Amino acid sequence: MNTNLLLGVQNLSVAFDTRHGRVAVLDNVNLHLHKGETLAIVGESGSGKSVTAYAALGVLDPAGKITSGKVEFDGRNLLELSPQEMRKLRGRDLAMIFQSPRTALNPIRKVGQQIEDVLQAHNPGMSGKERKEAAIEQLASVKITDPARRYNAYPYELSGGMCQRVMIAIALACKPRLLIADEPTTGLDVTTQVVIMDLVHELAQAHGMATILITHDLRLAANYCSRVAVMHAGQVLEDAPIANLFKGARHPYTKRLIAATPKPGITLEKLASIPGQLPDLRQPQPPCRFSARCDRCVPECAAPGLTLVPYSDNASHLIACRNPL
Amino acid sequence: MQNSTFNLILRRLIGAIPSLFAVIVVTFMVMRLLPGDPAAFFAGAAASAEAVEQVRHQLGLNESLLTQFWIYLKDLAQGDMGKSFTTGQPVTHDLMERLPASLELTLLGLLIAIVIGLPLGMLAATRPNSWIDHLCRLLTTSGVCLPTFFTGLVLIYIFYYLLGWAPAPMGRLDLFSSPPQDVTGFYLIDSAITGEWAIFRSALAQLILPAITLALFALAPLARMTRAGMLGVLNSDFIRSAKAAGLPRRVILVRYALRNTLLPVINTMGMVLSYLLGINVLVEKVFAWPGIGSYALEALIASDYAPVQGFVLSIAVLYVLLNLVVDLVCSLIDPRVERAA
Ligand SMILES: Nc1ncnc2c1ncn2[C@@H]1O[C@H](COP(=O)(O)OP(=O)(O)OP(=O)(O)O)[C@@H](O)[C@H]1O
Ligand SMILES: [Mg+2]
Repeated sequence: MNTNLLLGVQNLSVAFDTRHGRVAVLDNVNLHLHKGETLAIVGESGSGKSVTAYAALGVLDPAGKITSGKVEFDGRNLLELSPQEMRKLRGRDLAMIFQSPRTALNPIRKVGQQIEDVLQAHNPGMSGKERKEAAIEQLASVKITDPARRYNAYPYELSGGMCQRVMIAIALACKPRLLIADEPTTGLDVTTQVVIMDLVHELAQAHGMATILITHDLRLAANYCSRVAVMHAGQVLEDAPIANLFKGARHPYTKRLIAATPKPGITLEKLASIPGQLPDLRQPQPPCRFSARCDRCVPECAAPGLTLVPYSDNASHLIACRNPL
Repeated sequence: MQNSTFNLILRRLIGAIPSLFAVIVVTFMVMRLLPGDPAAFFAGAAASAEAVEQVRHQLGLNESLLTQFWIYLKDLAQGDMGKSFTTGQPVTHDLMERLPASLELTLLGLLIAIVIGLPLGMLAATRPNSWIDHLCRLLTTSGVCLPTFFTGLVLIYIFYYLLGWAPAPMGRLDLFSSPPQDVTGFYLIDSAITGEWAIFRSALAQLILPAITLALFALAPLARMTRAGMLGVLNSDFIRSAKAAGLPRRVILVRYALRNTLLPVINTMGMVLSYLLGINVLVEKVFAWPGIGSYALEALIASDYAPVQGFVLSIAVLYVLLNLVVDLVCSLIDPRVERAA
């Protein structure tokens, strides 16, 4: 195996027990990430990006069950670890920042104390004074001005951008080796988005940290990541270096996604949209969950056993399609 | 910050004046509208018409209602709630003497309900559909179904009459004990301070059944609120991010989830406590408890106006103070609670 591999998700399937019965949300998701690499996971809303991240970290809702697969981190299968071992890994080796920074922070605890909570969880030997100093230092490292004063702020006293900085400070407090950023800029204004993304990127580079950026914005992915995995309805359809993807997307869905991405000079009216809707996962699904929306669908698409395979002889360009472009 | 707390207290106390005044007016009117003539009651069954008139004159009941009310208000302004015809003592004195008995019972009842209800609700929320969740549901529904005085009677029947475990429901102490030296008026605390453990045991034995009666009533809303609040909080984003940061389970449950649940729970506690003050009237009667509730009930039967008016007014004042304390505690827990609200 590749010793440089940091995270390998293999055939991960997740189902939710709901009122309407069992919903198979993730279907054999495969992802891999090398040390220090930046990977983007893109896909429409509801395509299972967050669920993938939650499953890898072991923070799925109680209704969510991992029905098959492996999550290898640094050679260890995370799904086989005890809850206690997994807890120690989270926050220390694997960290995550979330979609809505405001609600992701404890509303009635000072932000400085929330950073201290993480430090305390992973460095039991630290004294209270050391922790406080480290928390203030951590606030300074995410470029919050006047960190000693902001230590005492409550989330509701801070702007969304500030809250996201605090989330980043919490996530990076123990210098993790992998950071999963789940749409870290939704709900922020455009300038703040750029500032936050630059900050994440810069800190990741500085610590040599591998990053997974979850987004539905291909442009954002192109700006900050070297590789993109495209997800649709709980399946990974294409996984390729960013340049390959923009030059020669092989999956019809990726092609549509690129066409639907706003570019300078194209007005909103001209922007292509992806026809159809995400399939209703409560119903049984065909092997390719995109086939119902696909204009290149052929009879072979209904055959079982769809997997992510290298496209022609390019080992870094993976695709799950029976009739690629 | 201290200034705003002070402002809150001041504003709330001033804001309570109109409702307290309304309480004074309404109780005054209702007492006089109720059937029953105190003059006839006190003159005795065999008294002649003149004798009754004479008593009426002595009691000041021959004045017009408006004059009577004016005199009552003037006395109240000086802290005088009038005199009880039954005990012959000033109502303020009677109430102050009996209040500790009621408060000790009510607070102990609430304490039992909190000590059981909060962990129960919390455990039920963390393990939905487990046996503890079902136990929680059973207790909360049965607590609502049974009238409190009935629960009290059933407890007496089982634990005093059938099993003989509990002492006779005859007040705060058994016949052989005398009250401890008066410090707080709470027998448990006073006897503990002076180290009179025999009295402590006797007081506790007497307290247990009525306190459990009240606790059974208070348990239901507390456990239900804790469970519901906790379930909501456990599903929120910040709990997931706390998990993702690798915080220990205990820290997540207590420091993150429980503290965020506490706000509605404390509001419920305030509500429950004010219900308990009302329900006390019946429970005190059942257990012959010498508190303000049984005092008011006896006065009501005797058409003794002043004690009933005094009782209702004290409960209203307690209620105002209680809500103030609840708001202060909430603003301590949650920085977002507007102190101005
Ligand atoms: N607790 C749950 N119970 C049932 N279904 C769920 C639950 N959580 C997620 N799902 C389902 O899983 C699917 C994927 O959700 P997920 O949140 O991963 O999407 P996403 O790609 O992150 O979308 P977004 O861009 O909106 O964040 C959705 O269809 C959603 O309905
Ligand atoms: Mg998501």
